[in-house]
Amino acid sequence: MNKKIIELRDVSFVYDSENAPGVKALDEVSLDIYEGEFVGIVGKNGSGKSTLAKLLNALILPSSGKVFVGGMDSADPQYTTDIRKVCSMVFQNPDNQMVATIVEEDTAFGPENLGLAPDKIRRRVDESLKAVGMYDFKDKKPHQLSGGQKQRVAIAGVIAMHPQCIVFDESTAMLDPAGRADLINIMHTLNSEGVTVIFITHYMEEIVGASRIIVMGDGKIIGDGTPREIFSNPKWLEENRLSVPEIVALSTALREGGLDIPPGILSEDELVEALCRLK
Amino acid sequence: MSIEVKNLSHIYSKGTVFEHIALEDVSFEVGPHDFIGIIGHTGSGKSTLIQHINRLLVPTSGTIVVNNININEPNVPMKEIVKRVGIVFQYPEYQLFEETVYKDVSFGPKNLGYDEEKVDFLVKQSIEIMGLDYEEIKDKSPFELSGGQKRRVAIAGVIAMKPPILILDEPTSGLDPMGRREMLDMIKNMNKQLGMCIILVTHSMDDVAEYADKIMVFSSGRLMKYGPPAEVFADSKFLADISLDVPQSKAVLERLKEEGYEIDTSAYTTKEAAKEIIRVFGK
Amino acid sequence: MKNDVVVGQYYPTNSVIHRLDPRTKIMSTLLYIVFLFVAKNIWGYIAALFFLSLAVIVSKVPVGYVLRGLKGVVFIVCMTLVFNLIWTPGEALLTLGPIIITRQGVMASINMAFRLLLLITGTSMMSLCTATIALTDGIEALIKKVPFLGKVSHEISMMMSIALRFIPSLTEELDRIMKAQKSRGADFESKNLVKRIKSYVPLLVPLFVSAFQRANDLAMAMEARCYKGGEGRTRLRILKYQKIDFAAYIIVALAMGCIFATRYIPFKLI
Ligand SMILES: Nc1ncnc2c1ncn2[C@@H]1O[C@H](COP(=O)(O)OP(=O)(O)OP(=O)(O)O)[C@@H](O)[C@H]1O
Ligand SMILES: Nc1ncnc2c1ncn2[C@@H]1O[C@H](COP(=O)(O)OP(=O)(O)OP(=O)(O)O)[C@@H](O)[C@H]1O
Ligand SMILES: [Mg+2]
Ligand SMILES: [Mg+2]
Repeated sequence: MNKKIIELRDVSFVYDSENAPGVKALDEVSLDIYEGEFVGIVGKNGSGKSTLAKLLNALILPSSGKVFVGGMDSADPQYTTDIRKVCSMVFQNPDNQMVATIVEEDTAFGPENLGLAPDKIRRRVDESLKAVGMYDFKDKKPHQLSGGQKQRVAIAGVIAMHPQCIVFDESTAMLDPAGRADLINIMHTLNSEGVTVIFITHYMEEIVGASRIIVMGDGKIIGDGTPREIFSNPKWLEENRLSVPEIVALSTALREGGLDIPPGILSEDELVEALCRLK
Repeated sequence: MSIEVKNLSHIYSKGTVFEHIALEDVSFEVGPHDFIGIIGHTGSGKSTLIQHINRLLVPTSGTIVVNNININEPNVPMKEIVKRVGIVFQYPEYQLFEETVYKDVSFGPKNLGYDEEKVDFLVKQSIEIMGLDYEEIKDKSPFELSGGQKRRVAIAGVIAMKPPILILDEPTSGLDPMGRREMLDMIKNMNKQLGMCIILVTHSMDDVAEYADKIMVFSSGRLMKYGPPAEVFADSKFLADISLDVPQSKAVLERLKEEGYEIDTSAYTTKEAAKEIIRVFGK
Repeated sequence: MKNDVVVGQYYPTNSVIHRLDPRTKIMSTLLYIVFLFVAKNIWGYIAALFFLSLAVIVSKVPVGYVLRGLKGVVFIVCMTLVFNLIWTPGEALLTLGPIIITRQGVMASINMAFRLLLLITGTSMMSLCTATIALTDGIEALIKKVPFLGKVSHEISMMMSIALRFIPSLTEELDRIMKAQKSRGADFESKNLVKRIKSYVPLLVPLFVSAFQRANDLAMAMEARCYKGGEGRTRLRILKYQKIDFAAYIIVALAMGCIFATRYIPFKLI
């Protein structure tokens, strides 16, 4: 097994606001994530996914329990910057995470904050924009880009800081199918280059390629396994306001209709292959 | 016909360097009880189109007739239009502003000048159509509700005006899978039980395949196809060319056909596709 | 693409003026403004207009664009004209009932009108020829040199660039909310003032809620990318004066000399 990159020990988090005092968003959660994993996180609205994501970045600190990122305790202020260097984050709304008025300045924002020398910043900006296929857009303004392009710029801004782990909190939610597919491809490429990816989504078919899926419900982790394991139980998923990918639903219907196809099919290829073997 | 659009074009910032043709020569008709799905890539003109249907945008050229009135005639008041066409924009929860749910939902009917009794009735009815408990929720502040509830209250605020035509722009984004299904089922109910004409803009092929009776396909400001799902999804290569795809079940059928099986690829929902596959592969 | 908003309107061309260091352009504009007030008579304004026109020609920005900035302020200019005309005491030229128009009044309003128009066209020239990003960089670099303000130069420029970044988003947002409420029958054109003010509540509440949400999201995104203020921060771009900047400073100095000289040309209108 690889090295642990994230470790949560009995972490609870309580939001205290005026009109709703003491909302317990996370309830004694423990979790280990290892280097190189591609973790999908799903769960119904309000189950605590975004809260969990923000804890991994020291954007919020646990009300009780401990969060370690790259072995550093997030509650210790001296590590805050280092934790954010190790584990970065891409958010949902592509409009609200671009800081600068042009693309390349935005990509430079992170490295500038790290205090790198100008020529080094330049190198990182160019290499990151190329990695997400946005180099030709480096002088464009944010409102000249589509949602999918803005999200790619957001990723460039994050990878320019050379993080070991990136959390995507519903980063595909506001995109069209093509933009979504692009973004997921980029995630897999980054993952194959060794970056740990944590991907929160409401679209089940987006995480069939994950190495592991975590299911959240009411502030707790209620499921943790491979996509095959998690999607093998449609009833249980439905009880938790989730669903299975279309292909899984189709395979289940086929099996219930008497066809002899093996359980655990996740992709179009696998289903077609299994059917071809029948006849 | 409920909506008749003829040769509609829209050009943003005409005559400047920022000129942009968002709609080009679009014509179609929609029946009074249709459930229409609109699909198309980002920037294909979907939002621009729906804003024309209640005169939030004025066409550069072309005409729009809703329930037999030409809505761009200068003497047609806006009130008469909003009575006929309700629009639910993307993320409608961002239009909530009142102190209580009741007040917010009553904003529309009050603007139409209805008396208190009628307003009362409409508010109650529409909150219930949206699957919420009227007594429990009416005095709450909309800002203390959960995301999904806010969305429902916002939509209730539009249907409280009882428009015979309801247009929704991506009403399911950000909802969990069950929330998505519930929302679409509610919309289907409005169509089937209340007889409302529904126009649903979405990025999900699976949703239009399952819910819509007819589908409009937009690409770069043009209406490329308009017909029942079976017809629209028949040409998967064409859809791929304009960066759309077919429902996953349909893709499986087509793959099987490519593999040389004698299979009918016209099904597009999971249920129908399963039936066809079992027919061919069964026994 | 979505409409560019007037603030920070930038008209890209490849002219010499566009290639100048932003500091040169900001300082020149400041000097120009100072000298508009140093000028005493119509000759001064003619000289200023001459140099401004020269700059417009060199910049290759269409004249229409330069003048567009005036549209919004015509009203203000007219108001100042009227006030100056009516309320300047002095030697009476014309009496219309209670209104007395004086010679000094006429002179003052002519002065005012010229100054305002030249000032606005001059500054909009600067923003047309300078990308917003360069503008904020230039302002940051210049503020750094000012005693006291130097310490917060980064914060000031950060604020400016975020404001510029979000003005288009917020106008878009306002447009969207307005459309949403209009389709719920809201009327924003009521003749009745009280009704009209009331009708803005359904716009302003959602606008604030969403602006607040945006601010929150943005702060989060900035923090996630290790932002901790100006300290220890480096920049991708470092401003450096080129030869053309020195040339530009010399030309501007000569031009200002000319405007100053016009003070000594005698002038009497009436
Ligand atoms: N700023 C806040 N103040 C008060 N309560 C909050 C705040 N943010 C979240 N909560 C509450 O905490 C709980 C968990 O919220 P969280 O945003 O982590 O859920 P989520 O799983 O990300 O949901 P979604 O799928 O809707 O994004 C919810 O009950 C929510 O209402
Ligand atoms: N106010 C505006 N000014 C100028 N151009 C605009 C404006 N609004 C939209 N456009 C442009 O018109 C085109 C069509 O936009 P529209 O919003 O109708 O697309 P859409 O199909 O709804 O896309 P999405 O799926 O992203 O919502 C786009 O290229 C867009 O950039
Ligand atoms: Mg969330
Ligand atoms: Mg749209």
